[in-house]
Amino acid sequence: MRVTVGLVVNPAAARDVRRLTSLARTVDLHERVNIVARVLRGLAAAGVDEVRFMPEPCQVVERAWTSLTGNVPSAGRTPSLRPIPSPGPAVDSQGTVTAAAWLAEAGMPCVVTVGGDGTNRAVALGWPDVVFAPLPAGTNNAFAPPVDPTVVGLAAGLFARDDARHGAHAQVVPYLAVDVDGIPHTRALVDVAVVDGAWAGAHALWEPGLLVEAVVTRTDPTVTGLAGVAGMLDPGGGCRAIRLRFGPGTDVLAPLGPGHLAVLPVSRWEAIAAGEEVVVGGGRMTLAFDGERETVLQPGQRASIRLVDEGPTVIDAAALVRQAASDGLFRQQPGHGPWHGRRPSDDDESEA
Amino acid sequence: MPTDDVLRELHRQMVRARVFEETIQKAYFEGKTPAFDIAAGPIPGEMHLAAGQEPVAAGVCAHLRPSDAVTATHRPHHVALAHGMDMRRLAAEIFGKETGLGRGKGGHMHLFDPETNFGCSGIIAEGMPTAVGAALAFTKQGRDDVAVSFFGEGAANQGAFHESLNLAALWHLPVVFVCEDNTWAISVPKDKATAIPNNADRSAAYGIPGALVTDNDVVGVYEAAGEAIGRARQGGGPSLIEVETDRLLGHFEGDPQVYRSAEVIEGLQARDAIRRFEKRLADNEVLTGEAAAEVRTAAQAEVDEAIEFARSSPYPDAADALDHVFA
Repeated sequence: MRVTVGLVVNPAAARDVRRLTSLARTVDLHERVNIVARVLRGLAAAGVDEVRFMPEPCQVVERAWTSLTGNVPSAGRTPSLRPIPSPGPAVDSQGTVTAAAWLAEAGMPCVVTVGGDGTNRAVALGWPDVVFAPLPAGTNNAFAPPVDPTVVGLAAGLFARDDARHGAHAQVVPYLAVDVDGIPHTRALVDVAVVDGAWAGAHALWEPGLLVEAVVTRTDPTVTGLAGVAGMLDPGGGCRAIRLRFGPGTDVLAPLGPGHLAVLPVSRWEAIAAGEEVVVGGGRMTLAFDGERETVLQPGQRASIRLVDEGPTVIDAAALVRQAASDGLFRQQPGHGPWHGRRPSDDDESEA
Repeated sequence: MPTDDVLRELHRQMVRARVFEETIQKAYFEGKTPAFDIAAGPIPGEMHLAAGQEPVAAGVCAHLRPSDAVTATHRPHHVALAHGMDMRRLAAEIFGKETGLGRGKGGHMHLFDPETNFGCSGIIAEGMPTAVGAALAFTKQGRDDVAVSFFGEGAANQGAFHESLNLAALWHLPVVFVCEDNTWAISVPKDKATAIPNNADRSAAYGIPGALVTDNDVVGVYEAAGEAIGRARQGGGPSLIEVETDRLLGHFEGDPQVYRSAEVIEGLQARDAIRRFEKRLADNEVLTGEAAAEVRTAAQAEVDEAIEFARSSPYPDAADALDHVFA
């Protein structure tokens, strides 16, 4: 059976104004290429035959492939790379949405994403029940835990080859559906923030004083962004989502951005149940999705934010690889020749 | 987040610059037809207009004061005006008149104004080390002024770019490098001349922050520049801002632009940053269409007066040709 995996790289992630407003890192082209090259090595060792990738102007995937030439030998055969059909390179998030929709249509078992929370959101917009193996290469990465790309590639490859076996390490996560004036508008994976003012400006969200309220699906005090803020209030992650209202009340110390520990006044917070709607609007305000100011609400417009329990699936790469190691998938007896990502027993199964 | 007053001022500065360029363009072609002769007419020499790039100048210079130093490129008018240069003396210099900033001997690419600490040059990336020098002087003098260097994406491939970032980082100087990325170095597209897609990445090589502002958005530029300039003024050191902007016109006036298609040019015109900004201002009830039209009318009156000043000013005396020049 030919094993294929999708790959989406956002060449623009981690370059916004938060390099100036916080201590956000710069993920330069070389680092991005290096991340993808390590993913390819992991996929190769897992026995993936082909990668269908989103073409983009920076040609990160192509550069990664080239960078492997003459590099230190690694197990497995590097999978063949094929750009997905498109009229041209993806130059914005809509290009990512379109690419993800193609990958869904093509029946990919999973997609490796390289970017930030915004990148994963764009993928999920095009492929609502996507199976992700996300890699953190953005500013805030609440959605993608820091795991070496080599290991994420290995995990994605193993999952693609046998999702039944490894499915226990893939978790369905909720998302936030957003309607404006009753019309479906968009969705977010981590948070929807209501921000004072009618301008998207530099898009990134960094000024604490502009926050009016937020609905957050991931509560984790160990990540940066609004998920980190919510995590300070719900450190155990017991809530599927919480609603935060900013204003005089309790001052909460929270990592609003990398190196940016802000003291945020939170007037109220409460758990949100699946299906429950939060309605906002009425004044000059902008909605930010997964950290990006995007939709300016016109005066009188209302937006509703609703928690939906069944969203994308996220592969827990670390847990999957640990289990695979426990199962002996990475051990073979001498004399079987080069490692091609397939144990003799696998070959027997495929021949049968 | 800019206040409504700031938003209106950003709009006014962009419109002033646009009207200035449109009016200079008309004057420039006087006497140059039917055969194009760049020496003929009231404005001799090449002319590089900045229509489309106004958001960069307006968004950055809104945070500056006259004592801050600014260096710009061979396409400098929008920056000079946004930084507060006297429009009449600017126009007179462009027309080669005695009342110009350089007594009419510099022309439109060589504008030097001690009143606003402004300088520019026709040499690519020339303003970058100059800005570093100004920032060093501010530091030595114990002032909290900053230097801002505007340059094009083509300049980022010059040695002066790297030398400037290196020294600014090494000496922790109050300088902000602003890349006006219009994707065209004369006729050469960026992706045919630059090894990496974003010059903001190059800041990492020198250990300073670099940020990208997309979509030629004046509010985005204003926000990023405010952070960078505030940081430099408080002793936080240099930074780099890369702004994706649009050059609506050719490299120079008379440029047939054979290197880009009519569709590309029409696409740029269709997303004119000023028109888009005016729509958003109106949508958000910050500036009505009528008020925007009044801003344009006022700008035209100001520009017409400056051009008339230039036209009516005397040329330098031929006997003074060798005065105030270095070559």
